[in-house]
Amino acid sequence: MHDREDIENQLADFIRRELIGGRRDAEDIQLHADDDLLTSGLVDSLGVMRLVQFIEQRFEMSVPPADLTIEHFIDIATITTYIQSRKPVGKGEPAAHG
Amino acid sequence: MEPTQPRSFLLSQLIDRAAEQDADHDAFRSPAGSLTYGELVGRANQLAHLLRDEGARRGDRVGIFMPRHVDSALAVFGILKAGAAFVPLDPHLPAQALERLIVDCGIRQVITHAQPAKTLLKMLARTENAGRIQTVIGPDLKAELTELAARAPASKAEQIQCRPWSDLAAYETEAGPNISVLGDDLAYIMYSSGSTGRPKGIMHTHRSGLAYARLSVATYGVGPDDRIGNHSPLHFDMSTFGYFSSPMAGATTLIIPEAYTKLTASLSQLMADEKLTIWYSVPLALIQLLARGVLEERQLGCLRWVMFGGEPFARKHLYALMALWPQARFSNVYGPAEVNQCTYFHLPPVPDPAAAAADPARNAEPVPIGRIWSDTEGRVLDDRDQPVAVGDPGELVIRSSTMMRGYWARPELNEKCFCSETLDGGFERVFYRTGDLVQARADGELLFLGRKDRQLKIRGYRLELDDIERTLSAHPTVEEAAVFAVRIDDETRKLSAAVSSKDGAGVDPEALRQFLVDRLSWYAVPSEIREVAAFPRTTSGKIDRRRLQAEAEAAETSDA
Repeated sequence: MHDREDIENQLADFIRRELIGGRRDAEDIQLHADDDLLTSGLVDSLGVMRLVQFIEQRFEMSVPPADLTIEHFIDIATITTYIQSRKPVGKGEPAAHG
Repeated sequence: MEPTQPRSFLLSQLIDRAAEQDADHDAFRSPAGSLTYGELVGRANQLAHLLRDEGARRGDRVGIFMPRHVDSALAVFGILKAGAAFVPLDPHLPAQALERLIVDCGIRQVITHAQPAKTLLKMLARTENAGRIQTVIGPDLKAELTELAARAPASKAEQIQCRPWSDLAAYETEAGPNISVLGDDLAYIMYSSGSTGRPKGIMHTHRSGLAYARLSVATYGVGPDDRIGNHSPLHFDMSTFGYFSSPMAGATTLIIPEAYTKLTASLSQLMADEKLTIWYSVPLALIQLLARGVLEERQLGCLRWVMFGGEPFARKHLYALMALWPQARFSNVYGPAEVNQCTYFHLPPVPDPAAAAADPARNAEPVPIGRIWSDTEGRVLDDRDQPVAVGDPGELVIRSSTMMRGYWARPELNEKCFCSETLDGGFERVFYRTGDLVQARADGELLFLGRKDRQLKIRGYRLELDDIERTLSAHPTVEEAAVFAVRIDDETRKLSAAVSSKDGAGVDPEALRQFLVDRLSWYAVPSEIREVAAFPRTTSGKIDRRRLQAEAEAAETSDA
């Protein structure tokens, strides 16, 4: 299992490396667990989908479309809470869509 | 009593008139707060007085550097009431790009919000900007400006006036400044989102903005009970429907915050909670709603009209939406930002939209852009400006009351994009060249063939890239497709396609190639078909084909 800090660090790493790494002003960007990822323009709509793919693979869970909400995805802290609240889907089991 | 002289009717008066009808009716809404017409008029009058105090005068350009928020409506109407022209600035612009626009049209006052203000401060720190910006309105940046003045004295940041929203309270709400502005005066400048080259500022007057509002209200029968979903950011021309047409009808506009445009399950919930009656967006927003918006769980029975435009919309997505929202009408809207809207096509009802969505033959047909709307004349011309025969392709050239005045400070562009025809007595008609290729169907409906500069010849054959894209998109495994020419060397170009797969389930490039071989001329089949997880987008949500092309050409060079 992953603890909270570990999940937050992994998410921040991914966002920094994959989603904002190519930006010209990337080195100026600080990333905190409570930074609004969506309104600030840090992550665009394609970035959201790549982030979801990363979460599904790394934490072996399924993120159904109905869970793609602001309550769960506005910042790294809420995403972490969301990941912890979902029982991970084991390998080989069909993903539960709800 | 002395009769008063009638005054020009201006865009700024749209909200006054709506407030006279019903001051307590919501004008602009957003999850973070709303403004009634009465509140909006009062606050906009205050903002206009403040702007006059800060030196804004008729014809001056005032920047709006803000996220999607009801305050942007306050900024629009406050600036217009001051007699100045508003210039929407994309809140995600980096400091350098922001600077280019501010310099291009000489903006001295900027209305902003806390988040974009960080970029603004970064721009102000550059010494060459000293004295350029005189006033920053919105967030309280006094401490930041003092700090900036100390850290970078050459920025002259201490000379910049900071006027936080709380300053509005000192000004009168009852009436705006007594200004003398004509319908023919500059009302706003909309910068084109072009990814390369110098930005083009499209100048609209009160008259052209009002002409668009009047025609669109009539075309879609907008009334006070309508609740309009404004998905487009202010700096994209589709926003004029939410910001002008809606107030003209006394309707309510929902400004959809950026976070909702990225998380579609929240967006569809908001659409249902707000009981939206009219929706207007680029096709991408609707495709995302279909893919991840859990629409089957949302109550969207209030939705009576769905308008889409900005780029072609694949029929299979359109039919899927028709199956979900049988009560709604659907319209394809066409018009460059230079003329607002200029054609419309109302989709005829389809008996079994679900079956139609699964039929590749029907899906390969383009959705027409339809007919030229009222107060507009359109001609389809060849390269020598002669009308083409019905059914032949040609450039759409139009004149309309909704047409822009020209590009800001770009005489060479204005020379190229306008043409005129002189009639008896020297009477002149001015037309705008859209740069778009169209073709009239036998029934009079126009088809959009693509940009004139997107039409190309490969191996001597003339290709319409949009036609190939549409055919690819009709394949059941394809979500969206983009086709572009990749330059190999001076003589050779090859045709390349990028596709995203439906539900991310993957595509079989060889099957897609065969699908195209069966349907297109051999020379129109791209020599490579590549799957992408996601497309690069322009700020307005269109697929960024120039970037795809540049990336493919870079890969080509590095392989060589």
